[in-house]
Amino acid sequence: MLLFNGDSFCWGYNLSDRSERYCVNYSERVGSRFTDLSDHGCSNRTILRTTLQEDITKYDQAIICMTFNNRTELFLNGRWEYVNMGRGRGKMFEDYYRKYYEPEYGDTDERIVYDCLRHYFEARGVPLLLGTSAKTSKLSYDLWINTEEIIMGETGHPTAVGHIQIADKIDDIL
Amino acid sequence: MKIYFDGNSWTAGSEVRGFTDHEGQDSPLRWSKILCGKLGAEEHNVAGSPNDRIVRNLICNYNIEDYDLAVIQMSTPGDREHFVENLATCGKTGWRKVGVYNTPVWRGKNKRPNHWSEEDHKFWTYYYTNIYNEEYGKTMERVHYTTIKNHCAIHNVPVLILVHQDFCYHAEIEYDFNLNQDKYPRWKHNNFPNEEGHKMIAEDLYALIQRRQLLLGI
Repeated sequence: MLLFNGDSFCWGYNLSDRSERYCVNYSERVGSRFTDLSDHGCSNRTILRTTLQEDITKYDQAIICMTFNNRTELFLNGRWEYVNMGRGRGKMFEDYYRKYYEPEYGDTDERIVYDCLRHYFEARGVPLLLGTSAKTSKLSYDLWINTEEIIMGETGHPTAVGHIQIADKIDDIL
Repeated sequence: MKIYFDGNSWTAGSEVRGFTDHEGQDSPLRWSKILCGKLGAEEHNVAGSPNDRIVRNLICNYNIEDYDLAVIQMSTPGDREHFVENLATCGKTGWRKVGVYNTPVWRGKNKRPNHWSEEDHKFWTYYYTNIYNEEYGKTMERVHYTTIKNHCAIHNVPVLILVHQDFCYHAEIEYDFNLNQDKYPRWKHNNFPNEEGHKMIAEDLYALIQRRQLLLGI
């Protein structure tokens, strides 16, 4: 049984048929059932929160791709609200990004989530393939899915072919 | 033998005589120092709140494998920190802690920390009035607790996670020790443990370390 988590890349944003996303593709290749906790627009904090809510001991392998480290989340009006630079055409959280966000904060937040995920899986003996959909990072990831060779659509998300390429990458590593 | 301490002012011992700052300076009357004296251990106390900072210290600033035991007190889940470039009033760059106690939600209408601009004041007052809520705090408390526990486990360092029960949301988290026990005598003016209270906390923690056999030869 496989566990996936991540952002819009993992969720299959912009695909006309989400069953073409890499989680489905890779799971079918290895003949495994899977759980996909991903969501588009989310942050590393979301990925950590939803992973910690899951009983991971039932999985044989986890494949988690973290996201851009300037994102965060808040709990508002009964739901988790994703804070990213694109919300409301860049206007919704403009104040926060202009006055209160600094790259040092994002880098530190990413490092904490990165360590927390790695240790969470290690402590429970569940293998983790940890990747990112960010283009660059100061951290060392097992898998990079936002690279030159991955074919992207107009919104900057992988096309159906791009998802096959990502599944190939996972296949090569595992 | 070396012991790592982190937490908020209850662990920093900021209300006892001899306290100097949040960077582990000698404060012979705080419970962490007394405990280390009993154990014959070196104290490294970096307490200064909030949980964001505690986790950042643990993961980014210190190598927990340099220590024989970690004693970490969780702080108020609503407190947080952010990174500031050229803080308007003093030009300093660095991490700044923020808590509801910095805002009128807690302090009364016209009071604000000296180093805060009017804009900061409005922003964080808005945050604590309209954005922060129990669900967020509760989730972050769980995330921080799990992070501390796993980080120490992976590095094979025993850890005691302490709490001030009024500061936490999670009755279901099994904290190792509650600092806010009625039996500890307090200062009347601020409700922090007084010097006798610090002594008693150190004795109770010493007994707990013995009982759980967390340190060799103790």
